[in-house]
Amino acid sequence: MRVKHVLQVAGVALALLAVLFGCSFGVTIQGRIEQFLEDLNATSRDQLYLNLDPALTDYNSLKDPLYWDGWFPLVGGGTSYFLVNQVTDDSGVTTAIVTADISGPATFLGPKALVIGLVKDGLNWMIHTITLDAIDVVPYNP
Amino acid sequence: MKHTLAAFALMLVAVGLFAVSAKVVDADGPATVRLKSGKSEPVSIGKSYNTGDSIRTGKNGLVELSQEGLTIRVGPSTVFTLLEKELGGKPKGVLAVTLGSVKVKYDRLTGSEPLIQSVGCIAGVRGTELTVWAGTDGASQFIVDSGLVSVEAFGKTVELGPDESVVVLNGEQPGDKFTVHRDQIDHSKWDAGRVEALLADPLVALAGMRERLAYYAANISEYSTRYRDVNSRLKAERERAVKVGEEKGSDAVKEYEREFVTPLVLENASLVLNYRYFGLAALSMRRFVGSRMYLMLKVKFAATPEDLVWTLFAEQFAAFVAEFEKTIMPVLVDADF
Repeated sequence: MRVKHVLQVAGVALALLAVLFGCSFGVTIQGRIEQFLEDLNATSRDQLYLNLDPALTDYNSLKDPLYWDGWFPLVGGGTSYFLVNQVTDDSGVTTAIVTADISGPATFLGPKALVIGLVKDGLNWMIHTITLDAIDVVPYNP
Repeated sequence: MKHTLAAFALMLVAVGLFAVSAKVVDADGPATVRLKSGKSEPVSIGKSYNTGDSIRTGKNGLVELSQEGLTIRVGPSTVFTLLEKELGGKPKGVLAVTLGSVKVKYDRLTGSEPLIQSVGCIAGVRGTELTVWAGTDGASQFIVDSGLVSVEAFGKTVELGPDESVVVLNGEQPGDKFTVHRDQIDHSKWDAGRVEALLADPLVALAGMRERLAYYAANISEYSTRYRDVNSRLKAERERAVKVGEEKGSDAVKEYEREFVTPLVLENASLVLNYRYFGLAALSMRRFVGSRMYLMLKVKFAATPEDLVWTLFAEQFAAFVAEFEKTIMPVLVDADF
């Protein structure tokens, strides 16, 4: 009886935790876009590759922050230079496309059309394509 | 030498953004795959592996992979990686054998056969069946069963026909080709010979590895220098584009961007991918050939650390590590380790 009571209390506590921390585990589409933007606005883009689908052909090469600095001029951390104005979110069960405008520092010459393709990898949504004004930044290579 | 390096580097104009995948059709014994995400897992039949994934077999491990029109048999104690690069504007698959033995068989020739790369050289394939051995000391041997294979290292190319073979010592041009007999084809015996050669004259093997490191470093230097130049031009053009926008409006800035900024952005990205390719290749050599070589020699001379050969080897290995730190490390990132 006592064990049953403890299990009931634990169950309620777990349910409360799930509600408090967003009900589901893993990174949502919106969560991924926000994380990508946060990494883009960081002092270094060395964590940016962690938003990408590890199955990408050039995953290893794309770990270099300098690759990203060419596309998105690095100004400095601490400020949200890059802002995304999300236009559409076309979500499927395992793939999704987010279309947005992205603006940044003056030298970024924005706003630009940003299209991010995502794929669900386990519980997490990962980026597997990025185009900027119709130019491939991360092309689709399954 | 410089000319040769430059010519070879020009061939590798850009690292491809294209996919090569191979499906496991058979596996036996211990075999793991290190995915490019950094995660390692056992090789499993039916699973496909992609560019950047690296298969490592144990002492009795065997893995057979199937690509379109191509069968790859990865032998025991082998490190095999699927790579890609762009040659002449077209994507080209690269099968990299860092250590051990790989047999490649083409069901049909399509003209887009992948290159075979070992630590010391690269081979273009016009054949239908060949075996590649990569030795403990960084040496490679190519054995052709049928068709033609051209093996190139440091500007020299050797054409091999059926039952012909060539050995390429690390850091050197290919040797003379010779005829092989079927009963002579035994990788473990060959590698035992390579180990013997390494232990007999470790300074030669180490010199070859340093030569190869110099080749990677020369390419990294070339692409990095070009990257720095393009990057500073890109920054300047971005600033100019901002001024154009202030003076002539948004249409003018978009036109300026298309003409002057975007080409530099694309070149910049291509240069980063190129120097990264050579950096990652050098890291693989240090990990699988250099570290192994050092450990073998350290064990051999454990009881006689004052031996002149060990002293010289240790000194030169320290120089190799210093060269690596100076020339290769700047293009590697924490996530590579």
